[in-house]
Amino acid sequence: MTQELSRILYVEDDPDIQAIAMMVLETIHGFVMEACSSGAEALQKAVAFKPDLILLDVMMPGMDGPETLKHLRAFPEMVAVPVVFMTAKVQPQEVQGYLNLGALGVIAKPFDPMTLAQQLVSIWEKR
Amino acid sequence: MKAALPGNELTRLAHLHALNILDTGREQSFDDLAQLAAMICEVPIALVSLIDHERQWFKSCIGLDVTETPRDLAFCAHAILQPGDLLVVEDAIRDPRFSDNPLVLGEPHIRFYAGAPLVSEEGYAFGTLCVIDTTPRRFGSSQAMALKLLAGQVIQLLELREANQALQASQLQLQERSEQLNTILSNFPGAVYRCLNDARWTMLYLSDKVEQLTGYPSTRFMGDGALSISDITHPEDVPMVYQQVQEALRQQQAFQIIYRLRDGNGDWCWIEELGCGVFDASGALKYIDGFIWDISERKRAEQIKNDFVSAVSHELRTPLTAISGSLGLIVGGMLGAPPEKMQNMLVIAHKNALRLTQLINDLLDMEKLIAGKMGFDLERQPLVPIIEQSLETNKAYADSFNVSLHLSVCANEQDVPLMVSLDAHRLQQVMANFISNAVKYSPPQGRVEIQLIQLQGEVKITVVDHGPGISEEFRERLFQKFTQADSSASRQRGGTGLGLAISKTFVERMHGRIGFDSIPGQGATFYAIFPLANRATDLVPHH
Repeated sequence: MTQELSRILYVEDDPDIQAIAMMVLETIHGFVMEACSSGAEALQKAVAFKPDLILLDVMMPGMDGPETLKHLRAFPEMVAVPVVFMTAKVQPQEVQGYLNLGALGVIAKPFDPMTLAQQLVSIWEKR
Repeated sequence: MKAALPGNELTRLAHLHALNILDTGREQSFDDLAQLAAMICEVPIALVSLIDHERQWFKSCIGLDVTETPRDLAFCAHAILQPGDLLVVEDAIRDPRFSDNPLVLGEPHIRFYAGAPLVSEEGYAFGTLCVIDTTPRRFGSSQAMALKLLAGQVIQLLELREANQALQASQLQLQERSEQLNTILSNFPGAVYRCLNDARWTMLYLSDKVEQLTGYPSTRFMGDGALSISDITHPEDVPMVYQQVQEALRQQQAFQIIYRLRDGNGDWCWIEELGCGVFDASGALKYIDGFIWDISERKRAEQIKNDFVSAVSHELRTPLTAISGSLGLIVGGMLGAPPEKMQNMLVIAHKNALRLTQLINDLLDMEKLIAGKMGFDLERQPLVPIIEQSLETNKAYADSFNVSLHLSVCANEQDVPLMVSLDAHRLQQVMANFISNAVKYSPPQGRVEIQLIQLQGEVKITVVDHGPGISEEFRERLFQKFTQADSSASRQRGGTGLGLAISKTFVERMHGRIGFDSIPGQGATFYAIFPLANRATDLVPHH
């Protein structure tokens, strides 16, 4: 696909981590971002925002990443939107588990802010 | 007339006293012999008399109602002076030795006396078996012979009695020792065993404490239809236990194993076992001796500790990610250039945040390794690209120390790029550890050489530095946890002290070996050796 990655729905409960990622992705690289602090908030905003890609933290209080993904997929508009997980659990079998859930890719935490945008674009181009 | 003393009187007395017979009670067997002597010799009185220092004491005394008399009056004191002969006095009144003896002149009016000395194997005459009459008489030769033979029987009795006493004493000693052993064993916090090296560990001995561990009394593990420790060992642990014990026995070494055993409540408890083979002179295994005890408490404590380390590390990681992330953005110039002085401080802050992150990552890796939660994805792949990638990843770090990295490959051309079966990600971690150590300890402008050397069926990856090398006293601890050459070096050079311990485990889990060579003052060479997998047949079975 030739469409460029532009709109990203970003779900992360830690406000500082969120701020850094927003600084990189929105301020520096110019993506159109919608930041959510919980899975529930993501469910409210997702359809209206029409994201190209969803960046989803795995470990969150309440609804965690995989559960949020399941509920997002229940919206017809969200069935085909690529999802990237961010997690500290990046052992091969763990990564495979996330891919089996339907994720397009996994970004290891702690992420490198210098290369985060590039990582996302690489995953996006794999579609 | 008083009898002279035998020439060996002192030792004779010592041996007599050693019999422990003086002043003991009457014994039927001695009385019977005396009775026989009296009957055969047709006299009213027969004695088993033992000559003590100042008395003669009667072990047996037929027809006379005393237990001892003064030695000065004793006919027997004369008899023992000629151990080989009977002393026969046919009429005491007519014998100058006894004519003035009060026992002759007064009660019991001795006239006739015949005494056969009781002579021990060593030749000591302890006393006599003697017969006495109150009228003078002649002594026939068959009676003399009978008296001698009976005296021999008395000696036999004395010797039997002595042997019996010795036996009883050693039995008592044995019993005391076994009681002592039992007390010691019952105070042990576990069970002691001796068993055969067979599939069921047939028990020869098992101390009572095993009941506390397993709920079964020790007798249940012995004899026909005995329960085997294997029966109550966790099925997953049985092969491991067997293997480790066999391996230790083969090398004639002690073994120390940890496994799970079903306790009295049917729950699994953790057991530690220490044991070793007992071998005969020809080196053949006789049996296994060992000790098992419950370490569930320790295991629980370890689990709590590991959980704690894991939880704390995860909790630390999120704020650290925020710190190093934001510092990284500033230092990386993404937000514009800060003033130079500020930049320097920010670089320091960033570097230390990364170091803290590394420590936490190491701790988490260690915890995963210990808990057995770390998976290794062994995959057949070329080695050279992995190593090239390592150089590239660590170049920035080396640059910051003004150290250069150089790769050389020494291998048969047709075997390059050297196929190996391992987990690339884990090997990268090992290489990062090797290279960062080498860089840290290199002099400024130093070179770190990374070499791939093909060996017979194996490939050796070496990382060579020209730093101070590794001091003698540090060598043994190098691959242990939380080890660094010294604490001042740790402050100077950074690092967690976990790296080599983790690397060692990683390399071994990928079927490799790890090691180092170093001449102090001339640098150090760390290496890892892996089997080559150039042909499909070289592969480990599951790939």
